[in-house]
Order: sequence, then structure tokens, then C-alpha cells
Amino acid sequence: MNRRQKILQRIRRGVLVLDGATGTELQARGMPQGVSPEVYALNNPGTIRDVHRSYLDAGADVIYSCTFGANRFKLAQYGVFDAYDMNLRLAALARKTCGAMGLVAGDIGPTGRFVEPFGDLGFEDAVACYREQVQGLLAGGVDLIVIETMIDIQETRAALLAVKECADIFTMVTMTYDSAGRTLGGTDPISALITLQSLGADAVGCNCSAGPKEMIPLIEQMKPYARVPLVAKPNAGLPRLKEGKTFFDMGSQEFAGFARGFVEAGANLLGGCCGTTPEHIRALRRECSSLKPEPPRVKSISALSSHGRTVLLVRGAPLTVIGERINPTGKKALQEELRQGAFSLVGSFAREQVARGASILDVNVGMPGIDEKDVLPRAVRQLSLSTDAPLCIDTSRLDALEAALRIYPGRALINSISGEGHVLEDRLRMAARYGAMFILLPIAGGSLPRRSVERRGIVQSVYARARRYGFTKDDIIVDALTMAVSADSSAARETLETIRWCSSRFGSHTVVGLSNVSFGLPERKWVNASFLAMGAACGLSCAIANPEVVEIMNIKRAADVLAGSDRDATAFIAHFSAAAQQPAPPSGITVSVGVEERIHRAVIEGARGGVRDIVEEALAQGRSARSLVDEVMIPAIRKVGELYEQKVYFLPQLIASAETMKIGFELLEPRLNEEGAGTGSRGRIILATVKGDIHDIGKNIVGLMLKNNGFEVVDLGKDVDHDALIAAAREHDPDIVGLSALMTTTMMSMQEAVARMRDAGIACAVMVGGAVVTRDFAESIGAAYAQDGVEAVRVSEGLIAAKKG
Amino acid sequence: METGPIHFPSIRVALPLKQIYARLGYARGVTEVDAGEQERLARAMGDAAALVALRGAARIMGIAELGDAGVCLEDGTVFPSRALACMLSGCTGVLLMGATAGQAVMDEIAACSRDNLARAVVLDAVASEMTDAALGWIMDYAGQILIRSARRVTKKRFSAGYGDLALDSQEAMYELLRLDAVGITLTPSRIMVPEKSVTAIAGVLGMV
Repeated sequence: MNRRQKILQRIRRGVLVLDGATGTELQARGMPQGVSPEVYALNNPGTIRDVHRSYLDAGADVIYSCTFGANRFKLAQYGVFDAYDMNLRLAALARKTCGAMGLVAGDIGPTGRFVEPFGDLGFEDAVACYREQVQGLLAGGVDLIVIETMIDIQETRAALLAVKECADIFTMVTMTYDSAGRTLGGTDPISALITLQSLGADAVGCNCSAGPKEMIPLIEQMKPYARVPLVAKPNAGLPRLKEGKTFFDMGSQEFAGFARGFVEAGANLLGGCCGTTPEHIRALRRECSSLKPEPPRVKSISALSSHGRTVLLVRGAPLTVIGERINPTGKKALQEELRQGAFSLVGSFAREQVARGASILDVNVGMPGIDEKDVLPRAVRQLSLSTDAPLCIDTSRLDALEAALRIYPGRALINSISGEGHVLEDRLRMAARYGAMFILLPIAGGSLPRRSVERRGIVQSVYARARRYGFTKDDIIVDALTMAVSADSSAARETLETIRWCSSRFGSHTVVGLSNVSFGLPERKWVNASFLAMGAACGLSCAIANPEVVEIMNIKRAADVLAGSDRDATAFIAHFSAAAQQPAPPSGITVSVGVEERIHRAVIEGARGGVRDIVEEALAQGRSARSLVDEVMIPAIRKVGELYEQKVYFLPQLIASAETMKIGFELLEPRLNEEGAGTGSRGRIILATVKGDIHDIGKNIVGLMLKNNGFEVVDLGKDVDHDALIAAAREHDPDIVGLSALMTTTMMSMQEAVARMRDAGIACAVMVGGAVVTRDFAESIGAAYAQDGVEAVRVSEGLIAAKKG
Repeated sequence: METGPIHFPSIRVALPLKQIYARLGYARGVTEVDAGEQERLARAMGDAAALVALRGAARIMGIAELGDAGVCLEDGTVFPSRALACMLSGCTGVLLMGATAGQAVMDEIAACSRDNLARAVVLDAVASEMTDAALGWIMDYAGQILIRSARRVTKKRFSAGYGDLALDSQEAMYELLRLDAVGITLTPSRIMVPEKSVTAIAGVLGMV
């Protein structure tokens, strides 16, 4: 039995108790603040030995070496540059202290850097850094490795890969989750579990940041999907402040009292993190002695993950759509971008497909003129930033596949692995190395098998080989092979038969490349959609398709209902109910409603697209521009203002209405001049954001509302100095000067502006506003106050009336 | 973080929907938004989130002196603000932070302000709230590091240009955090560019 198996055996027998906090124990024994704990431990070996021994005496089965920050990046901050030696010596010290009393876990923590694509540290640089640390720990004689307190899934992967590439040693990985249940990198516990256990972690869990009560739900979340034992190392409650010092508020008995809850939630290894002491571990040991932890509930799982999401493939669940659009075939613009090394279309396609219902995204960059080994991982990096949908990596090149799998921050799906002998073993080995799922393509011997029976034979043969690498049926998705019915009228039947066999006899998930079936036919969407429905009836799990084709997605939704996977048609009803709530466009439908009413409604509803046509219709019917403005549009915008003040409307609706009014008014303006009515300006207002302030969106909204209400607006823009303001006031002779500021410090600039204007003999009214401006402040500088665009109209009317009166 | 500034080339935060809607004046149970409007809003928010490229910086420094007039850091930098000093009462150090949403979203706001101001205000709200959320992220990050030495970050934070902390302090923050490394520039009037850039100070409590 090797060491890994011995550890697993111990875990099966009972809770494996881990040690508690090291940093705070060193501080309690005199370590000053601001020093490297690793350097201090090396220089004070007696102290760290005492910490280790205290935990062993308290009953810990596993001691963590004092090497949490012993990576080259952290050590360099303290002038230490031999990370290997540091790790070797501290691991050896722990090993010697432990003797036969316990196991030594080589402790690895974060580098403090963020790994690409989420940061600027290259992935291989991170792996190299951790490799150095792991080699030192192994040389120091550790029994296992622990990667802990990780917040970035990519950095965690780098550390885990470094371990796996150095040695075959039991490795546990714990990440740190915030109160929202995600790491600071945005990874949820299930995605972390799926990614890390498939990459080869022997135990997965969480530590730090949370007390036991907050951490138990995280273990509960993970347990149903865990193939490996689960680890929990909570803090001793929450940090509190007393007399200027922080202490952790959970005593040892209370802490240990959560042990049963952890075990019932599914934890197999328990210890303590910040604030815990040997007393906490002693109490924990006592509680755990009578507890029998539950082994992992599943041996395998069909799941794909990204840095922030997991997609489970479950029999009886709705059909999963794999979006196919990230493929340069037939897409000139995408081809051009890829040639230039740009990926904005890749990001756009990803977002659009996910918005339309794709759960997984196929990414294919194969085309002449690019180096796929370079471009594919770059596309994967971009997608990791653009979307949290898991990826299906689609390439025939082994080197490109490896480059992409290595840096993908999740568990990927490989498209695909066929039965072609010369590449099969290499691709299986690679899939196993990175823990990926794969699409099994039943092709062998250089030809496409037409009949289902031939395909089944290849499936079984490839699967038999895959089992040697540890794969189960949960790790594969069989491509049922879709051929064009225009070339072979039995093609669809053979595919459906293959789906049926995989689903009901062989016991695997299935996928089809949907659009292949209709190649060469007109109106392909109908054939594709029907094929999808028929496949769903045979038990199809996934379809590689374009989710932006409405017919396909609606058929998928209907098929989910008919197959019983959309219980009570909940998703179907919700989707079509939302679509039914779309308001009807105001023009051309309600013919019986008068044209004035339709203009009124267009302004109220903010129907920018339709208002022009209705205004032209009104003019054609002989309505005067003046009457449309005064009797229809201005009352409508006033009504919108009332709705806004009542909060029935909020800002986007207010502005949509104002812009609709503006469009209509611009169309009527020339007519107003022709009618001799003039535009009838109600007053002239200069607007500016004060000197030192560059925020102007609020001012722009005020300007729009004032214009809509018949005022002439001269907008001077932002960061307007006092001289420019005075010059503009002299030039335009406004009725009102309106000033905007967003910060308390630039607000003071308003006071100076008013004073300077008065000194210059500018006597017009001043109106001020902005997020931090108050009515009291406005009064103190002799200005009127308007909270927002609606109030600005009212205040302006009042000021001009007062001027005239 | 305690020997110099640390820079975050990419900060990921969940879209702070509640804060964005609040910023846009949405009142739960009162404001009526139909499905079409919701979809337009969701699309605009998604577009904004895709354009926002959050970057940030953080640094922990010790407090040399804390008095009524303000706070003096270990390197002699002074932040003259009574309100800030009050917030830092009991603290042994400060967490200096800066974050930016980047220029791309500002360019899009400017572009669509001309003919689609409704969309521009949504983009603006998203950019503002995500930048603020980035500061919260930095505080959480610092908290997870400090807890290992029995310290924690105050819940509140304070920004230059608000209260009695003059905008002049922005210059000191800019230098101490080396915000040029995350793409922020400072105008002569001490405004940061891109527009959605913020700095803030929180306190560090715990062991001396």
C-alpha cells in the first residue's frame, strides 16, 4: 500500500484531524509583526518546534509545515532568494518534530500575485515558482502536500499541476470563500471542486475567512458532487476588537461543538485556521473521536466548469446547448481578427450565445494562416475573461489542445477524441492529465461509419481504452455522428438509433452537431429544429448548435417540456410569458386611436423608434406644429416628469421619454418657424460643470429636460473655468446660469463662480445641482437649487417668471 | 502590500444590480418596468460590464500620528481631515486603495450620450457601481491577508474630494499607490482620468 492509499484508508476510518493556526501561535510566542513567519521560524527553530509539538500533543493527525509564504515572490520581499532551501529546511524540521506521531503536510499558500488571464503573472512562471517550493518540501520529507487559503482558481491550478508534475503524492487543496460564498476570484465551491478534483486533487475543501457556522454550508454544497474527501479548516469565529487588539471570539468548546455539523455536512478532514490554538484542536479531537465521516457519495460525475460556473450533465435534465458560433469557417470578420491576434468578436460571440441560452461554448480557431498552438490558448484566455460558460475546446492539433487545456481555469470538454489509432492514446493521455471530459467521436480506420451498429462498436472500443486512463462513462459524451440527409436519406435514422443506444443501453451522454443534418437543403432551420426534437425524444443530452436561431431554441424548450425535463413547463411558460409582455409599438397597430393620442403615448412610453412616423402622419393630416408641441408633447413630458417624481418612472425611462420628445421636436422645429410661431423659447440657460470637475452626465440630463420644455440651452461642457463662464454669460445674456458639481471640494468652486460673476456685473439668476449639492448650500451662495432634471424645469420656470414679474 | 503598493491588473466583481438600480432611481414596489424595458436594461448593463476593465491598487501603511486635525502616516504623508481621523480612531494602520473602470466604458458613454442618453446613464451607473465594488473587493482581499496576523480592516472607507478631505490628497494617494501602473493619470486639478476612478482610505485594526 503506498502512502496515498494509507492516508485514504485513515480517512475512511475516521475524521483526520488537522492542526490549527501557526501565525497567531508564533505571535503569541513572541514573533513581532511585519516579519516573515518562515524566516522567523528558521531563525527560532525551538519556537516552531514547540508550535508543532503542541498540536501533536493536542491530537492533530497532520501538522502543516511552516512554509505557507515560502515561495520566491513572498520571500523576495524579505530578502530571501533560495525558496527551495527554505522549504527543505522547514519541512525537515516539521518532519523531525513529528517523528512517527503524525503526518507532515507541506504547506503551500498564495504568491500574492494573480495569474493570467486574471493577472499579470504568467501561468508557467506560477508553475515554476510552485515547483521550486514543492521540490524543497519533498526533499524535506513531507508525507503529503496542502495547497491552502487560495483565492484564485488559476493560481491554485498552477500549484496543483506543479505538485502532480513533481511527484505522485497525496494533495489536498482548500480555497477561501467570502460571505457571498465565492472566492475573491469569483469561484464558487462547486466549480472549484469540479475543477480541482478532476485535475487530481485527493481532497478538496475550504479554509479561513469564515467561522464554522459559515463554513458548514459550503461543505454541504460540495458533498453531492465530491469524488474525493472534503476538508474544512475554519477560523475560531470572527475577529473582534478589544482595547485596540483583535481577538477571535470562539472558544475551544464552542468551536469543537461544530464538529458533528461538519461531519454530517460531509467533511472528512477537520482542523482550525486563524485564531485557533492547540486547545481548539484538543477539543476537536475529543469531539471527532466518536464521529464516522461519510465517504464520497459519487465515484464519477458528468460536469464541466469554468472559473465561475458549473454545468452538470444529468439524465432527465433539459437538453444542453453547446454554442457553435466561435468558429472562423465562413466568417470573414472573425478570420481577419484572428489573423491580427484580436479577440473582440470572440468575446461578443460568447456573450451573445450565452444570452440566447447556450450553456457551453465550443471554441474553434482552426484556419489557414494562423498558428493554432498560439491562437487557441489566447482565445481561451479571452473567453475566460468574457464569460463564465464552460468551454468545449475544438481542435485536431494535439499541441494546440494541450496549450489550451493547460491554461483553461476549469474542467473543459475536448472536441473530440476518435478511434483513430495513431492519435487516440496521446489524446486520452492528455485528457487524463488535465482532467477533461471528452466527446467520443466514433470514427476509426479513416472512414465515416454509416451504420449505427458500426458506430457502437467504435464507441465500445474507444471506451475500453479510455478506462485504462481512469475514465468512466460519466467522463464522455458520445457524438452520435450527424450526416447530411440530402446525401443519405437514412442518415438521420442511424444517428437517432445511436443516440437511443447510448442513452438506454450503453449509458452515456450524447451530442450531435445539429446543422450537419440539413447540409445542402433549403430552409435548414426547420430540418435542424425537427432533428433536435427527434433527438431529444431518443434521449439526446447535448446539441452543438447556433442558439441565436429562434426556431431551434424554441423547439428545444418545447422538447424539454415533452421529455419531462422541464417540470410543469416552468421554464417554457416563463420564457414565453416574458416575450408576451413586450409592449406593442405605438405606430400602425391601434389605428382607431387618434394621432395626437399616439404621439402622447410615444412620449410617455419612450418609443424613440416610432415617434417620427406618427409626427409626420399628424402633420400630413393638417395638425399644426405649434398645437402638437403645446397641446400634446409638452403635456406628455410633464406627465413623465410627474411619474418620475412619484418614482413610478426611474432615470432610464425619464430619459427615453425625453429623447423621444427631442426627436419629435426636432422634426417640428422647421415647421414652427414656417408657421411664424417661432420655437417660442421660454428662456435661455447656460449650463456648465464647474472648474475642476469632469462629471457631466447629470448636467446633460438637465439640458435635455430643459430643451424639451422649450428652453434654449447653451452647454459649455465640463471643467469650465470662471473666466470662460463669465465670457459666455456676456456673449449669450442668459436668463439663468446653471452649475453642476459632483464632489464636495468642487462644489466650493460654485461659490467662487457666483462671486466672480457678481463682481463682473453678471446679475442673472444662478441654479445649482449635483450629487453632493444641498438646498442649504445653494441658498448660502445665493443660488436656486434643483435636485434633478425635472425639478430644474420647474425652478427655471419660477426664476424666469419672477424675472418678468 | 506592506512593503509597497500591490497592483491588481484585473478585478472581478459580480454585477452590483441592487446598487445600479438604486443609482438609477428604481424604487422597489413602486417603479414599473415592463419586460421589454428590463431586457433593454439587462443588455445595456451586460454591454457596460463587458466594457468595464476593473484594475486597482492597494497598500498598507502604519499610522505615525492620529489627531483631531488629521492623520500622519509612517512616511510623513499627512491627510488633513478631521472626519478621516475620526473614522481611523483606534487604528494602527491604513489601507490605501485605488480602482478604475478603464477608458473603454467612458468612450462608449461619450459616444452614446449624443443620441442615446438613456443607454448612456445605464452604462454610467454600471461603471460607477462596479468601480465602487472594486474598492469593496480590495478591502476583502486585504482582510483575508490581515486576518492571518490577527488584524482586520474597518468597515468604512473615506475618499478624497468628499467631506473635509480635500482633493489635494488625491495627489498623495496617486503617488503612494503608483496608480500610473493601473492606467490612471492625474490632471493638474487633481482629477483622475479615466473618469470612473476612485481612491479611498480604510483603517487597519489589530495588533501593534
